[in-house]
Amino acid sequence: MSSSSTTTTTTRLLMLKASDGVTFEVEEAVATKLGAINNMVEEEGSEDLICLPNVNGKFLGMVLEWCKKHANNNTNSDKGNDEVNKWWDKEFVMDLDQNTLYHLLMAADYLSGTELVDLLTEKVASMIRGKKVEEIRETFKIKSDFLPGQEEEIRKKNSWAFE
Amino acid sequence: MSIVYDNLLQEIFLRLPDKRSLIQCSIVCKHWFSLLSDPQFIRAFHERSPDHPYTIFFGITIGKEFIYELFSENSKILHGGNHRKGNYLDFMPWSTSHVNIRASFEDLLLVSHSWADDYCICNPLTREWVALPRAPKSNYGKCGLMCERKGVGGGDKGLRRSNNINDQYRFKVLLITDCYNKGNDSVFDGAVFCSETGKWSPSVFSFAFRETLLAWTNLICPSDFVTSNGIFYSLLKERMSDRIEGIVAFDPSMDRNTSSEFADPKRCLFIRCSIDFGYRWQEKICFGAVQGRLRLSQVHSVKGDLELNVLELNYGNENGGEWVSVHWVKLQRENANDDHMLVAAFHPNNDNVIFMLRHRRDIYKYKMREKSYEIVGQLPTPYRYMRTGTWTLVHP
Repeated sequence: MSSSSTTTTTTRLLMLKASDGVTFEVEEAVATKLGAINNMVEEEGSEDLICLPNVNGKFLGMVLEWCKKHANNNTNSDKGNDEVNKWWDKEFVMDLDQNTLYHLLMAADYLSGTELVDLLTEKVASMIRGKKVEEIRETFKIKSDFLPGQEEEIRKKNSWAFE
Repeated sequence: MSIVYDNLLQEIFLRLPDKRSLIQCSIVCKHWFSLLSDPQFIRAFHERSPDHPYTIFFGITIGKEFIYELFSENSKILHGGNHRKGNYLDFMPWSTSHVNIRASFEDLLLVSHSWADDYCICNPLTREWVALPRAPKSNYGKCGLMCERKGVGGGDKGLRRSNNINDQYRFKVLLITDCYNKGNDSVFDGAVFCSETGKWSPSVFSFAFRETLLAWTNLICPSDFVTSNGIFYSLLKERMSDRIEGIVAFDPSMDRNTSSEFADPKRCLFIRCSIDFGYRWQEKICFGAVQGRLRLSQVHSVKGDLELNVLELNYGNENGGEWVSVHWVKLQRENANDDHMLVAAFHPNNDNVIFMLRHRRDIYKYKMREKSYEIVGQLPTPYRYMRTGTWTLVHP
């Protein structure tokens, strides 16, 4: 903590530095929604600049945007907050392209943003659910690498699941 | 997708609705197949499932063939595989025709080889198994299984980091190889396998006749054991009689080196329960543990009527406990020949529900308080007879 005279209302600011050198200035209350940052703050105490060599600026920015929304919404303690958060989360993931989605997921995981990981894994799962195997491959641009006959063998062994 | 770490992919797969979608996803590519077949993943998947699925194995003889059949449709989906052949244990190291289910505990089965003294513990859902060292020789030995889940250290993010049954459980197997009388005592010879030591240790259990006021000549444990609260329970009867004289409780935790010929008589307790079950008594009795309590049910014919009686052991008096009736009802017959009704199993999670078999085929769910029943399933064809009964698994 700084030794300034007025202690009550000043919120501490942290500098987060992404792998590509981009820096973000965020309130401590926002950044500590991320488990990894929370740990660093608790451990290192006085250090205000935190380097994050595994996340680039674009995705760190998006993760922090999500944190900010959730931190703000949580400070007003009325009942509608959950609803607001849900609605906002829905917007947040709606138009993500796959590449962004995966990088964001990796960033959220690296920063231990548990709730954000939940949100993003749920989004990917929703892209799998209800689809046929061929559609899943197409959605995720995956090529089957089974040897000839292997796939048929698994299908045959579990024919009930493909009826 | 290829950039996403495996642990995150598995987190995604955990959010799929059922086993069916897991299997469908497993043929997308080799990598997905390996992640989705991982026993740890499968376990984590079922742990997330909200309704604590359970499986009942029926051991039945149809024609000349002895098979295991599953209840219910949900269980079949859960266990997957080529369930039409009734073959759920095809991952075992032995030919499936030699695999005998002997006991169940939570999500594990104790199975034995039909003619060798070999035992395995397996999890049919994750298809893991562990072989026990060769057991002491016994011709008609009876056995039981008890397990204790080991605590898993570290943060639990849905996936347990353990590799096999030995890492997940501490377990004990009791094998009784011989029963005989010596002086005033009924003596049970056997061995206890303990996963902590990895060995079978010889154990002798006994209780004194005078406790029972009866001098039997030839006692046997007629079936494998039920486990409840760390104690193995066995039915006890005279070899030549159809009357169950009571149950005997074995406490394996009071283990010690039995260098002397006689063990501590306290190690085994006799609890009287004298019921004559008559011919084919195995089909008329169901003995099991329901949420830590011991239950015994009986369907018997009284003056042409069928009666169902469900008893529960009330622990705690000086004789080790007494049986109290929790349910008694007269069963309606469709006609005079309609006498084939039996209690197949107790519901593992609901002490108000039992499963009954009728017409050698139909599986009924019976709610005791409401006295209502409904048909919930059917065996593939009528069985000739229930050879060894049923085993219940509860998936965590």
